Amino acid sequence: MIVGIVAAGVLVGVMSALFGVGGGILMVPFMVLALGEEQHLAEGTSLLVILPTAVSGVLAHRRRGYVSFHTGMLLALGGSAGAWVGALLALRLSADSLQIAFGILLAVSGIRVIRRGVADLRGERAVGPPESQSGVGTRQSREPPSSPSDGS
Amino acid sequence: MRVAVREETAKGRVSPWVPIAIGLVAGIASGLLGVGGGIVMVPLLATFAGFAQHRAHATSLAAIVPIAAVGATTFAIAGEIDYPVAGLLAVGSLVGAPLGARFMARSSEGLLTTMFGLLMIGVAIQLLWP
Repeated sequence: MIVGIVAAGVLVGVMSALFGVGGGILMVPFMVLALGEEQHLAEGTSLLVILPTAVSGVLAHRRRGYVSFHTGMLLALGGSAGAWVGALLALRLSADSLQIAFGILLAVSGIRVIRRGVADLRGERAVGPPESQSGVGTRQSREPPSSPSDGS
Repeated sequence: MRVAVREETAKGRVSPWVPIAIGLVAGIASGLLGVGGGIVMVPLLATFAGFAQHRAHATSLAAIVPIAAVGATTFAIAGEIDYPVAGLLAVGSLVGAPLGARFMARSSEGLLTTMFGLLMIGVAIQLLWP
């Protein structure tokens, strides 16, 4: 049991850094379905776990230069206000309503993300595949051949 | 190319209200659903702020820290946190995060994005179709 929860945490950590999310997407369903937690309790617990996970992820990304702190601060400004309102709202809603909202958000966002991903894959293939990625220590430039989001 | 991306976001070509509004929407989703909000921020940053995927992921992660702090505090006051489970999940996730970051830095954007999207759809189906 304890080992299983820690193992789930490892998976959550990988996803968190990989996709720039806090990992709540995995944790809330895991706690509700596998651990039998009540929906509200799962959400609160998820948010607490996200905190150290996100800090750790930011530190890793910062070393690679991907984090824009200017934009991050603006996001946090609106986000903090929103998080407070959202949490108060969640505490007033039923578990069933929250699960449906959760599923709808995931489905809509997922479709959008997949469309983007497929477009990126097609674009990269059209320009030409990166030559034989035999790279063991691929430290050399990984710049994409062209950025599809360049034009305005 | 990296310089071009920097300018696009830092020199004010995108109004500061755009990330503030994105944050607000993501924050509400975060507090409401117990997620970080990256699920909202990453696609919106890519669409409305011209962020490349890697940058959108990393930047949303930075914003998630204060967003999750506010949400967790609100739930904690209401007594809706399971602290032992939180501790175990946190231990595991702190091990997993550096692994994920290393993989992200090596993978192509399109593949990464598609995998992320498929994951989201899979979980959504499970929730809406029990």
